[in-house]
Formats: sequence, C-alpha cells, structure tokens
Amino acid sequence: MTFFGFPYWLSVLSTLAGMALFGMLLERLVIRPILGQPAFSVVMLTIGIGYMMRGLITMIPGIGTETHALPVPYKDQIWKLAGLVLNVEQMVVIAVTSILCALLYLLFRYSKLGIAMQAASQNQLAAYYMGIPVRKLNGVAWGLASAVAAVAGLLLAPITFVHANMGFIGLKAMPAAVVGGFGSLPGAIVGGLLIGIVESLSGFYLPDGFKDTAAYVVVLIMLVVKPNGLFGEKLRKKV
Amino acid sequence: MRFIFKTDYEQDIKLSRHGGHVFWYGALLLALLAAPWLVPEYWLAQLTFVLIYAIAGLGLMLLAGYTGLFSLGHAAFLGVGAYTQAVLTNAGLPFPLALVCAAGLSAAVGVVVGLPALRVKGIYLGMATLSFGFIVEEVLARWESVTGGNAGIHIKKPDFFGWTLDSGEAFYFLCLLLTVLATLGILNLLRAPTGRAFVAIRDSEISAQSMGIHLARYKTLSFAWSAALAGVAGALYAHKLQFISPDQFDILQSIDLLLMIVIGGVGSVHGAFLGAIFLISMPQLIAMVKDYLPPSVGQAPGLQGFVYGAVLVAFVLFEPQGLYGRWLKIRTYLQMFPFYRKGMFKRQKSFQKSDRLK
Repeated sequence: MTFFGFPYWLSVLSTLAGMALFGMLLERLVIRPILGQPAFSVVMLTIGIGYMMRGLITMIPGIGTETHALPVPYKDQIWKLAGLVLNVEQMVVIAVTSILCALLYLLFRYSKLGIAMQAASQNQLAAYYMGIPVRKLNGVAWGLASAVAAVAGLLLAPITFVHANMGFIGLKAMPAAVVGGFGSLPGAIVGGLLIGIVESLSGFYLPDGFKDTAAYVVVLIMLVVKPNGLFGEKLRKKV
Repeated sequence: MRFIFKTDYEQDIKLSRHGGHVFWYGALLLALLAAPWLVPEYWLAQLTFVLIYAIAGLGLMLLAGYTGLFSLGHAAFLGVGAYTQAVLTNAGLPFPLALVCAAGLSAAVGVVVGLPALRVKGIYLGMATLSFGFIVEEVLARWESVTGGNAGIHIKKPDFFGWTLDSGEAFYFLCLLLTVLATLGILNLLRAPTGRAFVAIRDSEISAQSMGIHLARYKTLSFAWSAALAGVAGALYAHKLQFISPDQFDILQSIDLLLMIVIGGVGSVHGAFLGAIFLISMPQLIAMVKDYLPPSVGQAPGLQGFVYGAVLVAFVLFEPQGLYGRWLKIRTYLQMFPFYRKGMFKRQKSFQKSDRLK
C-alpha cells in the first residue's frame, strides 16, 4: 500500500479492511462448500491456500522475491521516561496488543455475536438448532481472524522484514494458544507471555539451539500433562 | 459387473477378493521386476523414490487414514530413521541390522510422540506432532558430534555382510522388496483384529472404547508402526541420496507427506502409492510445461508450491477421497455402465464439534 504513496494511517486502515474482506471472500469461496466435513479437511485446505498464496506472491515481478522493510512513522524513536529508555516501536506493539485483547475479550464476553461464535465452536449442529446462523457466523469469524492476523503482520513487519515466507512465524502463535488453552483470551495472553519468557530465559541460560525449541517442548509437555491448557474449560462429552 | 458369491468366512478376509486382483497385481509386480531392463536409468531412480515415498506414505496412511490420528511432523520420523541408518552404517553395521535399528528407534520415538495422542485429538494432535517435528529438526541440526549438524552427513553404500550393494538396479530391487513386504504387512495388519481396532478408533473413539478396545494401547501401537515404516523409508532415502542434512526433514517435508496421502486418497492403501507417484512426477511435469509459460510465471520460485497448493485445494474441495476415490468412481461407472447414479458415493455430512470435548 505504501508502495502507491498512500499515507501510513490510510494504508493501515485499507489493509485491515481489505484483509477482512479477503478472509470473508475466502470463507465464501472455499471453506463454506466443505462445511460438514472433518476439521482436518479445513486444515489441509488452508495449507493448500497458503502454498498457493506464497507461490502467487513470488510471481509478481520485482516484489515477490525480495525482502522489504516497512517504513513506519514511529521507526527508531525513543521515549525517555524517568530514567527508562523505551523504544517506541515496541511500545506501539504492546499498546496495540492490549487494546486488541481488550476489544476481543469484550466481544466474546458480552456481545451476542461473540457468544454465538463460542457456541458454534463447541458444537455446530447444536448451534444450528438454537437458531444461530452458523454459516454467516463462520464468514464473520474468518473476516475477523484475517483482520487480526493483518494487525499482527503490520506490527511484525517493521521489526523483521516483509518477505514471502513470513507466514511461518505464525506457527509460533500456536504454542501460545495451546499453553493458554484454546477458547480463552486471557489464556492466550498468559500463554504468549509464558512462551516468550521461557524462550528468552532458555536462550540466556541454556546452550545454543534451545531457544528455538523451548516453546515446542513446553507445548508437548503441556499437551501431555494438561491438554486443556492453563485456562481451558474442562469439558467431557457424554454419550 | 462382477458378483462375488461368498460361501466361506475365509473369503471375507482373503487378501485378493477375486481372480482379477491376483492377475493385475501379479502383472504389476512383474512389470516392476522387469523395470530395470525396460526404463532408462533416470526413470528407475525416480521409481525408486516413488517406492521410498510409498513406504513412508503407507506409514502415514496407517496413522492418518486408518486410525484417524493426523501427524504434522512425520518427516521427523523419516529423519530419525535416516540419521540412525547413516550413523550406524558409517560405524560399519551391515544393512539389515542398521535398518532394524532405524525402524526400532523411529518406533520408540513414535511411542513417545504418541503419548500426547492419548489425551488430545484433532488439531491439538496436529500441533503436538508439529512441535515434535520442530524439536527433532533442531536436535538433528545441533547435535553436531553425531549428526554433523547443518553441514549434513554422508552415508556409505548398503552393505550385506561384506557384499556391497553399489548399483542403482540392485538398490531398486532392495526398495521393491521392502515396499512389497511393507504393503503385505499393512494389508495383513488391516484384516487382523489390530487393524480393525484402528479403524474402529478412527470412526468413533467412544464406540470403540465401548466395544472394549484399549484406546491408549492401540493408538500407541499405531504410532509405533507408522513411525517404524517412516523410519525404514528414511533409511532407504538416506542410502538413495547418500547425503542427508536436517533441512530435508523440515515441516515442508511433513506437509508434503500429508499432501501425498490426501491427494492419493485418505483411507486406502492404493492412495499411498498413487500419492507417491503424484509427488514424484509433479516436479517433472512442472519442469516440462515451464517453458511454455510467460517467464515471470514460469521462472518464479514459488511455481511448484502454487501448483501443489492448487491441486491440494482442488482435491479437498471436489474429490475428498483422492485419486483412489476418483478411480473407484470411474470403475463403478464402467462396471454398471448405464446405471451409475450421481449420489452413489455421497457421504453423510458430519458437523464439526470442538476437539476440546473429549
């Protein structure tokens, strides 16, 4: 977007809106037809789409194969606050994350939409029976998820670089979600913090190489010991 | 249309349903045995790769297609097998012993990874196996004293108690032998109580449990067999390439293996082979049509990924039962020629429930 000379804030907004639309479109075109098939089909489908998009990006001449830096207005600025030196870049990440978390928490806790989404996530068929428009809801969920992922991408871009294989960073998000327990926003935050702390501590105290795997070791242990995560609900299916 | 008149219980569990099976699979085996004299060396090497991937695919098929446990880290087992084989062969162990060790170690690792599988399923299991895959890749890269780190490791030719297997043809026959053994082993397993227990677990864990199937035991067993086959495939892979490095066993390789069985057809032994043929022949096909495409598309590094992704999406959307499912449909169409109905293969919809519920 900034490529075309848009001002920063406008391009951020249009990126978010564009990604939300794209997510909904994707749901409409490919996810909805396989509604009613096992979750694994969706996983394979999204892997396939990921492959396709990565391939497509590399086909755009001049953009695809290079790495780019995302120029942001707050790049390389420093705040000095009572003896603390704070990097604005990181402060922006923290601030946006907390606002986003609060918004999502409110959405899932209090709004009809959020509660309906939770219901559909637990049992689609039962949600149908209760009159929840599961198909429409799926579209909204995909749009929302795409927009949130776009925010993450925008926050990450100035710190790393923009390139075609950025997507693999997203795999790091899963340990956080597992440790915290899916379906629990506070869990996701605590999980993310925990993973981050474990990663940096093991990078400091343990030999080289443990840093990258520490998160995954934590996940494996977590899944063996407490599969529902720290904050996940304990539910048991009854026949 | 062939009607099979069953007069005996033994007929139900026979490996070949009818004479046609014996004839066609016999012919296939003969063709494969004659392949070294029929096809040029390059294609023989590709055929060897097909066989190797088919063994790994059989392993994953047992786990994913028949037990319903999806593994996103299967390349890790391949890697464990390959490195075990490489280290032991270089230490002077003969091929059969090294192969048994490679399969055994992979199976042992598989049991360890299977532990989370006892408590989680669906996407959670995918994540557990994915994490495991990352850990193994990192271990292979960092444990330099044994694995040679990122620089990789060379492996000697397979050695049978003093007789060295150094030609491509001989290695092809070795792979063929192991593939046939693995296929027969899997087919036999699937008609035995153990295999039926696997299928029962896939279809419904709760009903399987109610029928007295020990979930933990059978899931672990499935992981062990699957990992052992992947280990064997990894060992052959190492011998074939003669050089292995950790980045050959990364997440992309795991996804390739999954892609292979999904495209081949989840839940069929044929699917593993069809998928392997697809996986090996696709890059060749792409290379062939590359020259006819505009340069910005044809020379893009992501072209192969794009084609794989597109094929995968198309299969999941339009033919969830994969190549083998498509073949079944064509065969049924031909067999009952004017009477084929569209809804014959329609599957019942199952609505998604949370994996969080056990």
